[in-house]
Amino acid sequence: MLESLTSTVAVASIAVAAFGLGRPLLRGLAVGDDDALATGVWSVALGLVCVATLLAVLGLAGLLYKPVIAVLTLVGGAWGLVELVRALERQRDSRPLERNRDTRALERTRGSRPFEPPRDDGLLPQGAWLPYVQLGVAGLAAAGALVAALAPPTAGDALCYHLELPRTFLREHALVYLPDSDNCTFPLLIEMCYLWALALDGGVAAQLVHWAFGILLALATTVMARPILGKAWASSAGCLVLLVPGVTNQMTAPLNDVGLAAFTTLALAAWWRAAVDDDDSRWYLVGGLVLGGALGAKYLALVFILSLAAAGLWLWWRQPGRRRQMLVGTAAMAVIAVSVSGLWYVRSAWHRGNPVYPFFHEQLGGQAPPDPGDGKLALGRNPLALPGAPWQLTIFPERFGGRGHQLGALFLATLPGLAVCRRLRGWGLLLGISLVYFACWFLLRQNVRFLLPLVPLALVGVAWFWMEWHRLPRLPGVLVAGVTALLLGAGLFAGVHRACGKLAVALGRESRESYLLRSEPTYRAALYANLVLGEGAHILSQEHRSFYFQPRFTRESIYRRRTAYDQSLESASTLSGRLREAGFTHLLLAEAENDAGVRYNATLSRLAEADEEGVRCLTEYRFCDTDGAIRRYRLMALR
Amino acid sequence: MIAPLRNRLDDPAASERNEPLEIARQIVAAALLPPPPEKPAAPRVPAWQAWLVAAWMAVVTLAYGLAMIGWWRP
Repeated sequence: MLESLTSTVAVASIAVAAFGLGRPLLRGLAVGDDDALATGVWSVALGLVCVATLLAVLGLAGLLYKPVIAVLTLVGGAWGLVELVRALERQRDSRPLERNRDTRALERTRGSRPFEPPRDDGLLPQGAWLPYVQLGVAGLAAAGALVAALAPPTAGDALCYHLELPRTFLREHALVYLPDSDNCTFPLLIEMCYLWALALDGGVAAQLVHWAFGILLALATTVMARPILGKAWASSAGCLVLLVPGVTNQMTAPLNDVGLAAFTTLALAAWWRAAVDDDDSRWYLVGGLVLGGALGAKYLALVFILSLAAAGLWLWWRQPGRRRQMLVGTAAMAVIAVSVSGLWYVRSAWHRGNPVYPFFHEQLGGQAPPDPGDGKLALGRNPLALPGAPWQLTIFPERFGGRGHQLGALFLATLPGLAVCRRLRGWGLLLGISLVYFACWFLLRQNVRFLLPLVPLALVGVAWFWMEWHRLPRLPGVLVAGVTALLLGAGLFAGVHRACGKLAVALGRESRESYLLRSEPTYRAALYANLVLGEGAHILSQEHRSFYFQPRFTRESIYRRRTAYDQSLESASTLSGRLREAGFTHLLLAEAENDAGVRYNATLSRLAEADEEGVRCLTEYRFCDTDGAIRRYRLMALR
Repeated sequence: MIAPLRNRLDDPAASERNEPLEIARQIVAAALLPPPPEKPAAPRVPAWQAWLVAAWMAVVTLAYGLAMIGWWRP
């Protein structure tokens, strides 16, 4: 319990420090202070972008030391507490008249001038109970994800690089280039937040950071939807975020898709206020900062920018009187976004010769990327398959990156219903942005988790359908309500179900070590390696999950692609000597013993078995995964 | 004579300028202006369209449920 508490306090410190550092920036920009929710969301988001970028700069300068990060957290945290106390005092002392004025100002800013938001002209008003019910249901799903996030991380991609890279950077005190890690030159802004958490606590705190990004995404959706749906229904859209199975799934693992979605949603919200609402040009500056955060989180943000640019061009064409203002604002937004995220792209170009390695190799040159394989485009690139894609990815998400990341059936079931709803001003623009993004997704990478940036936009449509629900005749209306309740129940179940098997470790009734021994395939080998192998050990591994290994660890598949060592061996018996010369001391061999799940390339196993004299088995075990896959691990010493 | 009053009521920015004066203005306007006309009820969705939407939602939910419990595979 104490361990869970420590991790939670570490993440709370990060949140308060981010608020403390982001709040003065927001105040300086003089926008976003609509109410406590908007102030909190914008401050935390800006603070996270600034601190993560600062950590990256420290990494480039070789100054990534835990004391430096601790001081940064202390200063930010102290200032954040001061800001919180000031905000509370201001709220308590504000007179009723001033409150009325604030409310009126908010009502006015809610209104999109080119696109008036819906008034209460025959729309379904929210009953007194609905906000509490939706908050309760979303809270339950978030609580389920929180319990799962309090268990030590075991997600493959997280152990392979989302946590492994920041751990390595922290150990080396710098953003080092790792030739045998394809991911080390990716944009790593979210991983810088994990580095922050690793410096304060460990892997669980890093995992909780992504859980917190899920909450930020829900709040960002509320902020983004307010000018379109009004305050009450925007909250509904925000709560619905936490009932999307793919979101709660990501909140339980330190990946980066939810973090990206939070930043793209806020970038859209800021751009909307500036370009669509014509509210205040300074929103372009805020938009530039959070868009920089999105670009620093993942290359996928470039696709979102393309969609946003298409919407901007449409507005620019429709509103000739505002063209100059829009052009200047968009240019400012772009310059800020590039300034914030540029270091990641320059770093990639420096090391790989391609700013977006491993993509667009044919056009931009640089290092040859690994073969993406056919699995990335389950439907191919035939445009005729595009209209059927929403059905396919909803019903058969396992073809698009796995069931865990699925979006659920709420969108496919509800969004076509908008055809019978009245026109919502602003929805056409959101739909346009979504369609451009979806078409790019179809052409580039058909993985369902890459659609998470569209979730908040689609939820605006879902909420609008609910607002129009009362216009349906009684019987079909009851059927629609029943089916919607079923789908929301499925979303809630997905969130709560993730807590199964993890409650004991979250509450401290099971030790983290014992949990890892039964849940993480590599943990036993890692324990052995950490206890027995010396400091100079260097493992060449067929398994990519390296986070729990303390000795140096190199992925065999990438090393083989870079050096083609297997091609240059005179005979199998020379393997040991060849690898020793390259600096390796041990091998971690991994094999799948059935067809249930994971697959490993067998090159190293085959060569090691042929070189009996050159290798010695230190430990061997089998691990049965939850999907039924049986893995066999052998840790071998090179003689 | 009452046009400026109506315009003021329609202009949300005007309400911020002087709060007591604004309240007084609203009282005078409420006394002089006729009550606002009843808003027309939102038109109902035609029954066939509503049934189409409901049927689509039911089909998607059924297909999704069957696929999730493994009774329908690609």
